[in-house]
Amino acid sequence: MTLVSEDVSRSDIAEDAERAAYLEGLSEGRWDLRWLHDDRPAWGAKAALRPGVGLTLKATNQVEPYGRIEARAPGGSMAPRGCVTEEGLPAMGYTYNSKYQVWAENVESLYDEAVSRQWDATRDIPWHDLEPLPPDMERAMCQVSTMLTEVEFIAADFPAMWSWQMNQHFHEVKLFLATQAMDEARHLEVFRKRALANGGGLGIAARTTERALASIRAADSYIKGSYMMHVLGEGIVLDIFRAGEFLSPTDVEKKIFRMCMQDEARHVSYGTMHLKYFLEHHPDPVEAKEELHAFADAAEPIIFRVFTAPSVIEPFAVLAGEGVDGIESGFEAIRILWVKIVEEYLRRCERAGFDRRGRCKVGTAAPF
Amino acid sequence: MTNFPSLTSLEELAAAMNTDEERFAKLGVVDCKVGISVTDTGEGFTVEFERYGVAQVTEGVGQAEFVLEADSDVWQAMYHDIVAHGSASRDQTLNYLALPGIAMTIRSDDQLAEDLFYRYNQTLQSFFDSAGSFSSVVAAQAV
Repeated sequence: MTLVSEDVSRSDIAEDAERAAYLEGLSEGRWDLRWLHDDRPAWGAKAALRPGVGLTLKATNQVEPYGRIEARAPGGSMAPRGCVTEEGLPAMGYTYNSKYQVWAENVESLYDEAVSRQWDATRDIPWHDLEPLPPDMERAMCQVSTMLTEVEFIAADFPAMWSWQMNQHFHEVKLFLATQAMDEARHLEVFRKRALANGGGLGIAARTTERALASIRAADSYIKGSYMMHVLGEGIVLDIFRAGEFLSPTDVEKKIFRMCMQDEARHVSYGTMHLKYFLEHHPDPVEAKEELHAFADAAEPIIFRVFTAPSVIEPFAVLAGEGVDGIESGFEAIRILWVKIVEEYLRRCERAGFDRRGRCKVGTAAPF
Repeated sequence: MTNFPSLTSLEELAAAMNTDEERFAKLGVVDCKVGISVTDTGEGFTVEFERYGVAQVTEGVGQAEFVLEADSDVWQAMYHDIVAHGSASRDQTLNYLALPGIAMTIRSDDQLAEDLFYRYNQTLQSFFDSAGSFSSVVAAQAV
């Protein structure tokens, strides 16, 4: 079957007799124009500008009925929310048609923020300030960059894996996920660039890391994937970016980590608030929460185990200790980081109404 | 502006930020209320960031979404470093000082509110780094 005709003629594109008559009439000046006089659209919309900023997504949702987001999407096509739909629109086969499955109360403002706070890994990093490092420091930085590039691959794939399954009624979520994909693309770009920019190169891809990433990919629902990706995985990576202050050999790496940190915090914020919305609006919240707890029981060790692999944790310690000779003091810093990571993760879970204290098997103290 | 942080000094930084919209617009929109607490004196201020600038600076930290807490000597050292170098040195950035066990604490009952510090970090740092431009003014006046 040919989906797109290579030789489009009038008869090819006329769907039916009515369309054929319409096309015939065009040449005689018989316009349709029913769309011009249709009284069904909610006409007169005028979203308010945010002074000095522009027209935000959030502002367009203040306009009725366009900002009215139903708990269950009324259709399954790509018709924009609030428009008039003709009969017979095809269903796109979306899996996520309920608001609780995808929504977060902060998603509109996070999208506006994401668009406003984009940056450029080519131009905004002072690459010309890179300086030669001792071999152990360069190798450690390159190994960390390799791992982070690897991690960002799943973070860039993840939004794409799920976004197309979401009903267009919740377009704000899809827009935000598109910004996440762009953020993560930039992150993997910047860490790959760092590995190749200073006389080093890429290091080792650890089996433990790859298994963790495969687990995120294998999540069988968006909420499980989002919890594992946004709350658990990115929450940990957020703290690593933050720790760039004592991991960075030069101001170049510091700038990289700080810029990535800002982006990562948006993703974590969405994930936390989505988890909250999901649990508060699920038709069977008790069962949903228990199922998620069981999932988290299995997911937490998989993700935290990444930070026990030698090729992951030792480069951090070498960087923190400013060389392999300082690896012992570096490990002290990494132990403090571990405590911070676990505590912030548990606090975000609490914020979402998903209390993992007392249930999380990952110790608050580092296992090394 | 040696008494830092104070209502006056923070208002001066706010004025500097508000007159440099182009630079801050490049960093992106910012919406948060940041508390600044001087632990040994009990003083506190809230800087309300909005759009690409500061909407207002008030006394007290009650309305803040998260609070940056440090002793006065830590705030002073940060300020003088910025003035001396034009922007914060590597060990005087907010992000560095607020690492566990260094000199500053980020306090919030809500982890997501605390995460605002991460989301807007570069804007917040640039706000304080504005003090660096004052040094050149002072230096120029001295000459």
